[in-house]
Amino acid sequence: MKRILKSREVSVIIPLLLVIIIPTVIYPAQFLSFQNIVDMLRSISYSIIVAVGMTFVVISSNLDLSVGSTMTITGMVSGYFLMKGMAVFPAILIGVATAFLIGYLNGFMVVNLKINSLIATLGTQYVCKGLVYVMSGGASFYPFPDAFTVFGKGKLWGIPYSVFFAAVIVIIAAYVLKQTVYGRSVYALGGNGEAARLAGLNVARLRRSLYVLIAVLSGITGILKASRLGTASPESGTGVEMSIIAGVIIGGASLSGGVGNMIGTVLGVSLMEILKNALVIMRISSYWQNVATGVLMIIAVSMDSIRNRRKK
Amino acid sequence: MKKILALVVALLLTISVLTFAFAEDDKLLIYMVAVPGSPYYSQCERGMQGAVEELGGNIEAVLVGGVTLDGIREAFEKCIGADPDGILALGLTYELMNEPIQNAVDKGIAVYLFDSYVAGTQAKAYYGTDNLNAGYIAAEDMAKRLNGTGKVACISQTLDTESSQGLRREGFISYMKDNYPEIEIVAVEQAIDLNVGAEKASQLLNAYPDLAGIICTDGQTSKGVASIIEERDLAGKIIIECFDEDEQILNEIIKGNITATIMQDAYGMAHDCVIDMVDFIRNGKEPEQEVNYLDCFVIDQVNAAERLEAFLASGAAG
Repeated sequence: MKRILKSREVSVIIPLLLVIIIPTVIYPAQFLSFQNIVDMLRSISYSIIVAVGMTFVVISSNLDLSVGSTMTITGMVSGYFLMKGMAVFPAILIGVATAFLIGYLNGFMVVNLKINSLIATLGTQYVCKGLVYVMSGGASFYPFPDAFTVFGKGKLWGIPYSVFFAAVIVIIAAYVLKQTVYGRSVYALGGNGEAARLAGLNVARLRRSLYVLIAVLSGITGILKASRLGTASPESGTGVEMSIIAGVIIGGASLSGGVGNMIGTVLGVSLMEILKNALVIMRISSYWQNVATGVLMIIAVSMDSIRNRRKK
Repeated sequence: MKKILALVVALLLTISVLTFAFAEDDKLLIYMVAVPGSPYYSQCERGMQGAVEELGGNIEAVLVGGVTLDGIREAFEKCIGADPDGILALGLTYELMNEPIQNAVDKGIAVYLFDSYVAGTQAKAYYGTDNLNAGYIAAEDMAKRLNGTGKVACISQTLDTESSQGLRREGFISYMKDNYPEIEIVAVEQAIDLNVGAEKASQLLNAYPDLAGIICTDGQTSKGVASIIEERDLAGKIIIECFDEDEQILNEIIKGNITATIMQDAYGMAHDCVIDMVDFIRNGKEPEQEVNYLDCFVIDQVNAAERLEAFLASGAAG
């Protein structure tokens, strides 16, 4: 019991309960309506798919700031080929392959060129943002065939497919992280990279694989979002990365690396998304919504900093 | 013989240089600094080229620009280096554009603003929309469709009160308060893109099940809102209004997912700007007034199909 209470995830459960209980008490009909719950689940599912990749990257003591623009470019690339009349699966595959290349490029810059991960992925963010405008001239791609939009719009028992997809990804990721050599290597890399290298771990390959993983997951999310709206827009995905990183840190992962897990990430990302929803349901002004989200992010990073100091 | 040949060559060179020099003196070079490739600015470009055709003579008009604010400023600065006769530019913000505009004017280049106004620069004149008035037009149109009563929410890409969207929002809200007190503005939400627009629309519909209307102060976020309207089968049951047009917005109006859009005269603003600019460059005629507002008009299901046909025929869709 003591161990559970001391765990990092507990600190997120209390605020999570608060953002659920307060709107439930004040606006129960709106907040607990089936439609609103579905909306929240959908938003959480999109963020979680990317956050799974970010959890691996953060645990390995790295960061990726290009996830938002990777989402955008992947949706745009798939959308472009769909507009050209390509069949749905090849168009999706080309989109995912684009994400794979972006991830590999990030990994190459961080591992082989020894560029700081923040700078490398920030650079990629700008390149991708520029490229989507070059390929689209600023216009959105639409309309898409039903065979494509079904991934984003389709539902099972009234729940969007993306929710089931995110759940499967989380379960697989949790298993990989805790039960496989790959997962333990990620923890080792984040805990002490040099020690991991001396222990015989192929650190370079592992790092590259993490950037590919997060890019592919971001790409899939970009495709799901384009599919849901039936439109791929060059303006989408702006600012997503900060919200995702905040969710992962709130969930207990440490920016110093070596710490974090999937349950925490699910809780942290859920907190961020439910808060955004609850603020609208509770009729809070948009100005204050930004303040509240920002404060939550600051608290999250501060908590991480305090935990690290205590550990030392 | 060699001397004669040298003389002939020298003579030919002199003639060609003089011809070139005179020709260049006569030829006007005008740059439009905006966002190349965007359907909206393609219409502005057509307005510019339309004016060039009308004016005749030797005028070269070129659209350049960038996709970010900094990119547009950089493009403007590059234009100064090319030493054109005139530049039509977006005003954007004073901090961003005042210095390059001043540099251009100091070099004797005529600078005119279109589409986006900013006060206090050395630009000769502005041609574009009165965004506050555009907000009034949207409010009047929505109020009529709602019979003067109901709950309305606003979705805006920015929360400031000075940008084009900020002015439209302020115009909309103040007009409703002054003229239709039974229309309640229940929320103002920020949405930076169509994904967030969809999310916010969904949350607003959950928060206010009796919501009667949503106004989007741009075109992009309205596409996200339209997808929610279609998803929830609310077409025709809730009034959705936005600003600007492109192929997708016009199609959503035809389908009923967007009720109406307030269209700016993108062609007209660039056209009128070029006409007055060339008059100033050639004849020294100062613009009659510094700020020249062009009319906005409403596109809804009545005229959307016709408008779409014209839009596609113009090639603005890209």
